[in-house]
Parts: sequence; structure tokens; C-alpha cells
Amino acid sequence: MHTFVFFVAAGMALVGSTLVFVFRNTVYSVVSLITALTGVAVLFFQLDAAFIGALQIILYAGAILVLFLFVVMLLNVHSDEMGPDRRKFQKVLAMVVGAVLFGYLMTLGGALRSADPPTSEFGSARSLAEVFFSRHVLAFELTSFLLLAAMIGAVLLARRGEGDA
Amino acid sequence: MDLIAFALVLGKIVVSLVVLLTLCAYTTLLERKLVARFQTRIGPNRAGPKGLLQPLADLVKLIFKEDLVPSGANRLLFTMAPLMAFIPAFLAVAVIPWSGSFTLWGYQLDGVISDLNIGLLFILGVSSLGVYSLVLAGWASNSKYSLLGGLRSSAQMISYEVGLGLSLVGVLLLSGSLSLTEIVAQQATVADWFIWKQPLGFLLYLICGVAETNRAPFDLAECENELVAGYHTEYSSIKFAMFYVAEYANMVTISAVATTLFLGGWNGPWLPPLAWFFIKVLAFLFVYIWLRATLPRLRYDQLMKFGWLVLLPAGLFNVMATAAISAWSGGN
Amino acid sequence: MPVPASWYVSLSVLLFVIGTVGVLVSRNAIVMLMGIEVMLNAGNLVLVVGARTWGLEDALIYTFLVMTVAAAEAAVGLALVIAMFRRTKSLDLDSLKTLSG
Repeated sequence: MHTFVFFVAAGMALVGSTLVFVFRNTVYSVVSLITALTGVAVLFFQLDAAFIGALQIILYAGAILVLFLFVVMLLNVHSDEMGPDRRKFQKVLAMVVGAVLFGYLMTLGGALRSADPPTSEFGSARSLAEVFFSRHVLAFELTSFLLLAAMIGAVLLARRGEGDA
Repeated sequence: MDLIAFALVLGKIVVSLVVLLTLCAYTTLLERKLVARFQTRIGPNRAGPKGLLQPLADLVKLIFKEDLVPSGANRLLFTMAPLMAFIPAFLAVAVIPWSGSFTLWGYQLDGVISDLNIGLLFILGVSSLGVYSLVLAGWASNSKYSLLGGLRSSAQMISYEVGLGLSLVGVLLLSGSLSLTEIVAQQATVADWFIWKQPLGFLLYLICGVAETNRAPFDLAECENELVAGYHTEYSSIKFAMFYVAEYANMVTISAVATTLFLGGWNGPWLPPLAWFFIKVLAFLFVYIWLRATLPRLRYDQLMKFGWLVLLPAGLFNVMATAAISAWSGGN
Repeated sequence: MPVPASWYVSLSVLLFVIGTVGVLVSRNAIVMLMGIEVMLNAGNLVLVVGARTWGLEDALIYTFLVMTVAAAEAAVGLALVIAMFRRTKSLDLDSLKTLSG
């Protein structure tokens, strides 16, 4: 049962993320990314990280990708506007780089072994909150600054300046 | 999980879906009759005794209409959008507790399909997935009314999601748990209901809930005399029926979550818990319909200003006040 | 653990490589930003697997922080794409070549 769920979710993630780059229509790419990230959320749920899985759905699938979709629709790009692909060797080179990276990364990560969850409260909101607000409270405050800076930056960059049409 | 337990869960799911669908269908009738009474006329009373078969008549009419797909529309996304509205609306029911524990034919059952310990986050996540139906429907219809309506509706939905989340934080502070069955268990008597301790949070939740479901007075993006019909202008037949049912299912979900969080869920004297749950949900549906019949529509910029400049600070104030008071009075 | 940890790690490596190749290959700026999101998710997956193996909730906090940073980066990146589109009327990244000699 768990293996089946893993394969379905992993399939969703892999197929979704590959299709992001295969589709010419950008809206289809965003929808495939939504499927891919939902697959990753299912994997999070399977790994007893229920809170993080729920946050993945709320943040990624529910907010960030909606932002992507808004931008795609507002810019109203037609799918065949990209010029012809002049540099074929760039794709081949990218595949070679990908293969080398894959080989290198697979040699790492040897220390991970299967384990049982330490307590039944692992990954629940309460225990995460206890860790977050005790050891990592500085990170918490800094992320609030980061989000404020990102908000101000995005509004400033995207609004029409005095010289623009 | 053995076969009996599996069959019981499956039975609960089927029964919940059937009950929810029937409730949505009869809410449409309730709305038409109540709005009619508010306007001193009688609603539909021809189909069946007192109009009780009207939803069936509507369904048959919608099924037999011609299913149009506009030329130049993106077929795949056009067909997928109603599904993306329908599925999240019905998925949220999985974590709402409609009854306590009861025994049926000798088996001990809980009155909830799935008691997730992050139940509240599940509902938030599922309702944020509902935004895609609006955006994709608007874009895929290849029509300027639909696109504008879709963008406006979805911008409204994501703005009010923030207010919704903040109003829930107050309840979370009081209950200390994200699990909906736990929250209901803490409101066993009327004096314990969270509505008394969180009046501002309740009001915020109600307003944001109405805005989330794109209902009056926040329905500028989809009402009949503005923008034709917004994102579902080009939809007909079954696809329109799915949008329609999904809207009412969202209403029922928001009402059910409101009763669970603020009115004590299925708790109540004498009557069985299920009856109390339905009474409270129907009370909220009545409030929804009452608002539609009474209040004028908000203009779109007024709506966005209200959401960001009034509800968001009010939500933050609510969270701070709740945290301060509960820390001061010894707190949990 | 429901499934051997090495499977999760292989999946994560595969996702990361797909994201990298996608970013290198794509000419559409928005698709490139989506490739970055794929890479970030691959990293999150490894963090969660590590958290589960060693019972460290700190790693789950780090995934949350990565998600927050990804959200901020997506917002600013999309604002940049909008500004770029206003200037060059195209989403093709190769159109930004006024600095090249």
C-alpha cells in the first residue's frame, strides 16, 4: 500500500516536472507544476510531516502558483511567440550536464537508513512550534523581514514608473 | 485495515457525499423561497408539493441544455475548470465532525470521516485550491468578460483567504489544537462556545467566509448584472451545474466549519448530535441567504480595500488581543 | 519508514536534475522560474527524509524556511519578469541583449 502511494506520488512529481519544460503553452506548464508539487506534498504526508505537507499545499499550490498563473495571464503570451530554436547544442550540453550532476549526486547520501518515527508527536504543529519558537526564533523574525522586503520590492518593480507607457 | 473497517469508511464517505449533494440541491430551493419572502412574493411552488421538486426540475433542465464550448477556447482547461471547483468543495467535508461517537449495528463509529490532527490546515489548503477553477475558467473561455471576471474573482478570493486564516488563529490560540474533533470536544456546554470568547474572530470569519464563496454582498465578479456572469459566462449544461453546485457546497463547508469552530459543533441537549449539527449549519445558511437578500453589492475596489485595509488589521488585532488576554489570565 | 529512504533520495536527485536541465534549456523566463521551484522542492524532499530518519524536527523547520524564501523569491522574480516584459515586449530571455557587445 505504501509502495503504491509512493510510486503514484513520485510519478506525479516526475512527470509533472518534466512536462513543465515540454509544453509550449505556459499555462499548461503551470498546471503540470501544480500536479508535481501536489505529488511532493503527498510524499511529505507519507513521511509523517503532515504540517509541512499541508503548508506545501497552502503555500505552493495555493499561493505561489496562483501568482505564476496571474502573471502568465496578465502578460497574455501566446504560445508560438518564441523564435525558432537556434542553438541545438545548448540542449545537448544541458543533458550532458544533467547526467554528470545525476551521477555525482547519486554517490552522496549514503548515511540515510530507514527508521521508525521517534514519537507520535513528530511533525505535529505543537512540536514544530516548540522547536521553532525556542531555537529558531531569530530565523522567524528574519523571515518576516524578508517577506516584507519581497512585498515592497515586488510592488515597486512591477508598477508602472513615470517613464513607462 | 480490515475489510469491515474499510467498508464502514467507504459507507461514511458515500453517505456524506449524498447528504451534501442533497443539502446543496435543497439550499438552492431554500434560497429562492427565502429571497422571495424577503421580497414579499412566493418562491417557486409549482414543481411538486410546495415546490419541493424544484431542484430536480432544475437539474433535468440543465442536463438537457446544449453543452457549448466556445470557438477558440482551450478545450482541456475549459472542461477541467468545473472539476477543479467541484472537487475541493466536496473534499473539505472529509474532516468536519458531524457527530460524536455512536454505535451502528454493533460497530463503534466516529462521526467524522478522517480525524486529521491538522484538520484546520487541510480545510484552508483545500479552499485555496478552489481558486484555480476561477482563473482557469476565466482564461480558457477565450472571452474578455470571462477573463476579467475570473481575475477579479480569484483576486478577491486570495485576498480574503488571508483574513480567513487570521480569524482562525484566534480559535487556535484558545483551543491549542488544529484538530476539529478536539475543538468540538472543548465546547461541550453552551458557556464554552468559542463565539463568546472570540466575537471579533467570529465576525471576521463570517465576513471572510461570505467573500471567499463569492456570495452577496461580495459577488460583483459573478452576479447577473455585472460582467454578464463573470468567469462562468460561457458555461452551459452540466459544467455550469457543477460550478453552481460547487458554490453551494462551499457555502455549506464554510457554515459547517463556522459551527465547528464557534458554535460547538454537534454539542447540544436532548436532540441527537447530528440534528444539532444540521440545525446550526442551516442557521448559517439562513444568514447567508439573508445577507444576499438584504445588502447591496460592494464595488470591486471597495471590496478589495475592505479586505486589505479593514479586515486584515482587525484580524491582526484579534490575534494580538487573544494572545495577550490568554497569556495574562494564566493561559494554556 | 514506509519505503526505503534511498528511494526518496533518488527521487529527489532526479527532480533536482530535471529542474537544472529545465532551467538551462528554457528560454521562457517564467518556465525558468518554475524550474527553480522544482529544484527547491527537491531539496525540501531531502530535508524531510533526513528529518524522519534522525527524528530531527529542526530539519522540518528548515523546510518551512525554504518554502518561505521560495515564496519571496518567486514574487520578486515574477515582478522582474513583468518589468522585463514591459521593456522588451517578449518573455524570451535572449531578448535581453542590449548590454552585449
